[in-house]
Amino acid sequence: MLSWPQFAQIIRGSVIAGLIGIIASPGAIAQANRIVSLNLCTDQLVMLLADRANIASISALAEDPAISAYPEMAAGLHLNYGLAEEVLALEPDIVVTSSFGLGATTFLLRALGHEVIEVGFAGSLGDIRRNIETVADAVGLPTVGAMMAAQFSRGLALATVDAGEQRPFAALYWANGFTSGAGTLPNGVLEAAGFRTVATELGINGVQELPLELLITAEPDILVVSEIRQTSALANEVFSHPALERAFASKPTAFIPNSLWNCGTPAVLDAFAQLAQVRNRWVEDQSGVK
Amino acid sequence: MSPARLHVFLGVMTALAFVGSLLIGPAAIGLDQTISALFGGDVGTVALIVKEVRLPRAILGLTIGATLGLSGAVLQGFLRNPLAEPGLIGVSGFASLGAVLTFYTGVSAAFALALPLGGIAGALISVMLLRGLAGRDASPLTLILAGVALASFAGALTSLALNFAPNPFAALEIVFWLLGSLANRSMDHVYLAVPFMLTGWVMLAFLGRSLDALTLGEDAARSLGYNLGRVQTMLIIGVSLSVGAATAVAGAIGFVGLVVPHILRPYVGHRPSALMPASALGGAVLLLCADIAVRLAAPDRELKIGVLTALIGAPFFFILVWRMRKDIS
Repeated sequence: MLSWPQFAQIIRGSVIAGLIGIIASPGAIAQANRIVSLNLCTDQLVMLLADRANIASISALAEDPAISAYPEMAAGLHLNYGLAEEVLALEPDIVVTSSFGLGATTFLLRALGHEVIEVGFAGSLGDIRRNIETVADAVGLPTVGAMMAAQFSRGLALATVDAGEQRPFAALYWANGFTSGAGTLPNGVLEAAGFRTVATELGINGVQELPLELLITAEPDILVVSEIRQTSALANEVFSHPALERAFASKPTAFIPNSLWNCGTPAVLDAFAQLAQVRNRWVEDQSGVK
Repeated sequence: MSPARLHVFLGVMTALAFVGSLLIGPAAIGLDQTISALFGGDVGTVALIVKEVRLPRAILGLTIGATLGLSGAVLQGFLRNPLAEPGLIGVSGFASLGAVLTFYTGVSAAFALALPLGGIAGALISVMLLRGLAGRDASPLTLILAGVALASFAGALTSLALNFAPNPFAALEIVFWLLGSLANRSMDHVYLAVPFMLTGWVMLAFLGRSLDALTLGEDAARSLGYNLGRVQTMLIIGVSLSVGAATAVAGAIGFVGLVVPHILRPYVGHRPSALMPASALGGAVLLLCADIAVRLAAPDRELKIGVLTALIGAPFFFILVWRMRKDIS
């Protein structure tokens, strides 16, 4: 199967060669030549959609394999730290960033006459399609965007599970004892992949602290952990809390890399694939018990 | 109320607050369930929560509160300064810094005792610096000024160390080290910190009589046969051991050592030897109650316990400053 970067390269190549672009309206928007992205999530979409040669800069976070799904694509590109000064020096045609954070930079760049496209936070699977199209339009590649969005939707339809009764009860636990509830992508992915979640059961909205006590009393079937860094942080201590270790001593723990679902990118389909394995193993164990 | 009665009253309050700390939390667990979880051979979910989540938190609330109350009483007695308190004179801040340096360099991951030892070393350094900065016969204001300078310096260095820590949560964790919290502390933290705190308490407990004598002035205390150099050494080590270890597992919790001795002093006839146990118990009650309040007020948010103690303590500080101003003028 083609990886997303490969897929993107092929459709981009065909569009540019004029094989697919015929349907695009005459005088279609030209591809931007100097694209600057300031946000990890827009970085990844820009790298997938646009030609490398046209990317003037992406944020430094895009290079971090712990949070970026395509760190290898970021190698060699100019990296920025979200400062207006850096952007001005790059003389961009278009700046894409998230509508969340960096408000001061966005404001300043706009005041200085630059076009800045803000892309919304992906809080659901549906938002991913929207974000792919928004970024594609911004960089002048609507056809490539439409194809990638359609391909993503097909993948999503295949990955979505109607699990019926066989829905393992999962607790997603982040560093610091946080969980992601309603209106967050990871919770949406878990549910679409055939899990019930503790966050939904407890009525948690957004990313909130889930007290260890409530996690343990909920008695989930599976603990889903998504970010473990090999650095010392108080935030990680919750994972080695004796109460948590003992509560899940005889239950499966799944690790889904944060980079797969912290942004709305096609990489969430990889999270689906990993979760499907976790769920199948659980279903097998259940039938073995019975 | 006589000192003896006050001690009994505070002892009962401490016991009640400790039980309250075991009973109150986001998960609904009744009294009977809590008792059978603690004393029965129960191994289920309830036992896990009571023994591994709530018990360590209650033990740390009790011992850290007692450490801060006791240290405040001892420091105020020895320095004869109503504003002396581990947080205000920079001891907690440097203890935090010491713990931060062992924690984020990974030393404490390899050798767990490094965490409390780092806190204790930080506390010791701060006392040395304070003596050097304020001089031997510092006026109350000079001493506090030196202490506040040290505390802000320690806070800045702690933030700096965390800014360089390779850790995406550093910004959040600065808040923990500067304000303190008991959330999600485990029995591991109890084992690491409590032995040092107990040792510190024992050393400080020997100082009661000499602090009583010191209320008559240094010369009078010397003529009564007290070796003030030895008293000072014991005090520095006792405060550093207990506050250093407490701060290493819960961050720098302020104002407990300021507020508690002040509330209790009138009831014990201004005698340091009677104030010390009363302040230890009072500190335990205050911190246990503050920790319960944090859980009740905002269970889904990370309200730090130090925010609450500062909210209670800062108005006290204002009153004390105002009184000192009147005394001076």
